[in-house]
Formats: sequence, structure tokens, C-alpha cells
Amino acid sequence: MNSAFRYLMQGVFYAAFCGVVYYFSTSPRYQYLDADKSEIMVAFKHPTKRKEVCHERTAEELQKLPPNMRRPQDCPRERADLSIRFSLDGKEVANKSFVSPGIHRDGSVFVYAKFFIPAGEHRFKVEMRDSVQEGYDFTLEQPITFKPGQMLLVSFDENTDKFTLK
Amino acid sequence: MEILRSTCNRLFLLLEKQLNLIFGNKNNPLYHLGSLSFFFFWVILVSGIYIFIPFETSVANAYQSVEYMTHQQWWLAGIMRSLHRYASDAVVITIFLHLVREFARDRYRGVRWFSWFTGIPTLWLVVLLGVSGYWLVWDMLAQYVALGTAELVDWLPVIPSSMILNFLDGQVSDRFFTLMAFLHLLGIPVALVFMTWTHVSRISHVNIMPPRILAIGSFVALLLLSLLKPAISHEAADLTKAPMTLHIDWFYLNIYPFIDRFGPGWAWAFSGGVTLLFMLFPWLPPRKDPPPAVVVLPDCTGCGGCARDCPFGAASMQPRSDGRRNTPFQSVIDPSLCTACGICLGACTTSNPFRRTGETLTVGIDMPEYTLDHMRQETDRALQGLTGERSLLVFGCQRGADLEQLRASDTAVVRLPCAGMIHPSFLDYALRKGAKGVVVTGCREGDCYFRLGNRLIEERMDGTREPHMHKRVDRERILVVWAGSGDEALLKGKVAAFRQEKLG
Repeated sequence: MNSAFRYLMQGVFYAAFCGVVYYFSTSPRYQYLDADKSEIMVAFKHPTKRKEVCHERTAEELQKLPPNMRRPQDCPRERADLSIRFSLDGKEVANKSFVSPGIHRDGSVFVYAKFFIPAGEHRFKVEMRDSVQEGYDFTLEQPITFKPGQMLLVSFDENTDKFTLK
Repeated sequence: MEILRSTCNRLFLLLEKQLNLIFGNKNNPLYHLGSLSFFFFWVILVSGIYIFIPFETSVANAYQSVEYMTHQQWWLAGIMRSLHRYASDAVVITIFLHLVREFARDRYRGVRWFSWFTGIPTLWLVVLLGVSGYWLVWDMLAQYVALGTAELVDWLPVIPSSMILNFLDGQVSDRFFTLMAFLHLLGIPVALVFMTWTHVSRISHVNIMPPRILAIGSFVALLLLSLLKPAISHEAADLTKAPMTLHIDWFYLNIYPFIDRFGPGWAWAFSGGVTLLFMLFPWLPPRKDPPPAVVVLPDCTGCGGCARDCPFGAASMQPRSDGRRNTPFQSVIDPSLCTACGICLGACTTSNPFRRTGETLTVGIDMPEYTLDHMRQETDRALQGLTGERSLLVFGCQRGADLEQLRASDTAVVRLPCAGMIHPSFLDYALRKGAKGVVVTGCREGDCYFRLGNRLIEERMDGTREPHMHKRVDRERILVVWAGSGDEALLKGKVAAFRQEKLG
């Protein structure tokens, strides 16, 4: 193989190498969200209600306990599971449940969900249950016009006990 | 596993053969994948230091500063940015090929498990470094990466806080962004340097720079790519918008579409499972190496040749334990590092075959499975069977071309674990005992299974490395052919030509 041809082939090799580098550094394109879709992302932390309410200990119950543990109230630590449901125009689009974390199941639940919906005008509804009671404890329902490519962030304000949309 | 390995090996041998024709053995990129990776890291480091100067480490200004580099100062900062990007991509290719090639060559089991085992987390650090770099541009791709990473991290039950909540306010805090910048600029690079050092810590004569011509060629190629196709950003990150079409860097960000499709739990399971599987490769199945070299203290002169030449740092010189005068040091072998290549035997000044016939040869350092005495017996046996006017004795490595095809009444073969095991006096011995010519052969040049074997024996023959070949030896009667598996025709042709031209 003469030198000119060898140099030419080296050039071809480098070009092929750079071709691979360039192609996979940008291609193939990845379509995360279709042009006619929007995204809803839900993320917040929420301590659910305790499964059982505190009750006053009777004198008999207190007597059975060691002296250093005789607190007048008995408050079971375990918290309820959290359920959250999303509806669009009266039709359920997502439904998720979360268990309270921790050894005693008493930690705050980290709620996270994301889903895609068709862009356009919709009646958006989110419902959340954070207790052992039937039905939902918190609800937000309102019409929203979702632009294509819009990301709606759904959160829950602990101070006002209300859902917030951004 | 064996079928997969031999198939990969055949493919590499084929490809390397073509590249040897184009680049020559000394500059074959496939023989320098490790050092090329180091070189690309240098390019990444230098370009990274430059682009850090105009880069603004804040959420509000990061994107604008990168845009400034890309468009206003495209002629330097823009090129540096592109070099930074493309060298980072190139390093993934070279590391991946390096990994597959070491697997194909079966250089990852036995005592060589350590480099493989530490190489896998090193690769992960490279990926983390790349991912954190994409974050800093703070464009829509960065936003996608940030949210995907948060999803991945939040899935882990051991993380107490929720990373994704950092994004819910509609913007990321500067503190959080600075943390990512710190990880990319200092935290991960320091960890990577440490892991890379660990990765090569059990080998000696580490080559961290590729041949100059290869370094220049690779750099010029990346520079041209940077000029022709400069790296550009997506639109600025906006947490009220979802990313739509993304030009993903598949070398680094391939896990994110996987998360979208299967969820973070499966992403952890898949990447963790693949990592674990790869880390366990050296034991799937394990390989039993031949017994390590042993030091024969009464014969060890403490010359240090074995410690100097051992490619794996298994031999070291330590204070003498037998109280012998005038030789303060002795060789000590670490069995956990010894690959039983025999290179130390070839480097030992006492590996001399010219001793009384019938006397058992002893040597300062010996191989239990292929002793110096056995090597001389093999040589004597081969020489006794030789006939013809132009008889040849071939010393060949077991890992190179198949030597059986050379065997004939006028051609005898002595097979060795590695060509580097040959002490130059053996060549002299063979010529003086009746062979008209001697052939030394082994793995392809630059591709020794034990890293340095063919280079070391050539240097010994050339007189540039001890032990030197005696000057009286007629160099014209010695042929050196580096021929790997599959190069039998080449070896046969060169041997025939040598016999014709030099021994005729």
C-alpha cells in the first residue's frame, strides 16, 4: 500500500470516526412529547392524617406502663395512605396511591406523577384522599386551556390546604 | 461466553489487520484505545478550563453565557465548546471499544480481574461527568436531563428529600445549580482521576499518551468536526414548557428515554443489573492461571531486571533475606499480580543456557510450569530433530499465529508462554548448536497479550535493553516476525523468504 493511499485511508477512518461521534451526539431525534400534547407534572410532599386519633389513657392503662412512659395520651403514629386522581372532562386520566414511608409508616408522602394529555380546552379535576375516610378530602376542578407543549405543575399548599397550579 | 469471546476476537483481529495496513502497527488506534481515552480527557480538560472562564454559574445567566460562546465568540469559545463535547463523546467510544477488546482478548480474568473490575465504575463516572455537563447548559435538553435525573434519584428510598421539588417553583435555585456545577467541575473529575489511577495501579509501564501521529490525527479530526458541525444548544430551559423534540446525545443520555418508557425502577434495575453482570465477568467462569514465578534465592543476583521488565508490577526488589554480601537486594514476587508470562525469566541475567549438558539449569527467577531447564530441553530436542542445509528453529509465543503449520524436517518449533520470555542468549545457543537460522515470533506488534513481550525482546536484541544479545551473534541469521492468530500465511511467507534470502 503506497503512502498516499495510506494517508487517504487514514483520512477516511478519521472521517468515519467523526461521523459516528457527530451522528450519535445528536441523532436520532427523540420525541419526548408530541406536538399536540401537553404535560401534567405533579410533585409535592404531604403528611397524611393519622390512621387512628389520639385517645386519653385510663388510669388502669397508665398503671400498666413503666413510670417513664406514662403519657396521658396514646397517639398511634401510623399515617393513612394517599390517593390522588386526575380527571379530564369527567374522564379519569390517572390514579395513583402512595404509602406513608418510614418504619412506623408515619413519614410525609412524596407524591410524584407525570402524564401527557391532548392540548386544548379541558375541564381539569384533581382529587386527593389523605385519610382513612371514604371519598376525597381535597378537590380542585377548573377549566384550563392547555397549550401544545405546556407543562402544568400541580402542587399542594400545606398552609392553605389547597392545590396550586403553575 | 467462549463463543461470544472468540467471535469478538475474530472481528477485532480482522479489523486490526486492516488498520495495521492503513496506520501501521505502531499507530493502530485499536492498539491504543486506553491511551487515546487519556488523550481525549486531556482535550476535555483543556477545553473545559477555557469555557469555564466565560461560563456563568447561575440559572439566570448560564444559558446566555453558553449562547455567547457559541455564537459571538464562535471562533474560540465556540470551538472549545464543540471540542469539549465531541471529545467527551469520542472517549465513550474508545472506552467502550477498550472494554470489548479486553474481553475479546481474554485479558480480564485470573490475576488481571482487577483492572476490569475497577474499569466498570470508572465508566460510570465518565457517564456521570457527561450527564452533569449537559445540565450546565440549562437549555431544554438540560431541563429534560434534570427532571429525569430527579425522577431517578427520587425513586431511591434512601434519599430523604425529593430532588424534583427543586423545580416546582418554576425555577431552580442558584444554590442547587452551583452544586451541579461543582460536581461537574470538581467532584466527579476528582473521583474519576482516583478511579483511573486505581484502574491502572496493578500494571507497570502505563502508557497514557498515544503515539504522536495518532494524537495529532484525532485532535485535527475533532477540530474539523467542531468547525463544520459546531455544538449548539436547544432553546433556553423553561419549566412551564415540556421539551418536545430533543437532539439527545446517545452516548451519555440513553438512560433517559428508557426512564420515560419503563420508569425509574426498571432503569435502576437494568443499569444496576448490567453493571453487576459486567463486574462479575472475570468469574464467569473463573480462569485458573498457571502458577506464578518463583524466586530462587541462591541464584538471584539482585540485578533488578525482573522488576524493571514485569508488565504487571508483580516483581519488586526488596532487602535481601539470606544475608548474602555484595547483593543488597533480592527479587520478590507478588503472586496476586503474576500472570506467569515468563518475561521476568527473559530479563534475568542468570537465564543462560550455556552450561554443562546434563546439569539442571537453575536461575534467579523461574516459572514452575515452564522452567528454564525445560526450555533448554525443548530447544535441545528441537535442534536434534532438525535436518537440512537451511534448518530453522522457531521460538514462538502460544498466543500468536499457529506454529504447527511451520513444522517440517528442516523447521523445529519451541512454543513459549510469551516471546518476552526469551533471553537473547537462547538465540545464540540455538545458532551455535546447529540451527542455520532462528525465528522469533509472537503476537502482532503492539498487541502482546502480556502487554510488552514483543517490545522487550526486540530491545534486548537491539542492545537497548538488558540483558543484551552478544555482539558475536550474526543478526542476519535471526528473523523477527510479529504475527497474531490468523496471520499464519504472513508468517509462512516471511519465513520462506528469510530462508531463501538469508540462508541460501
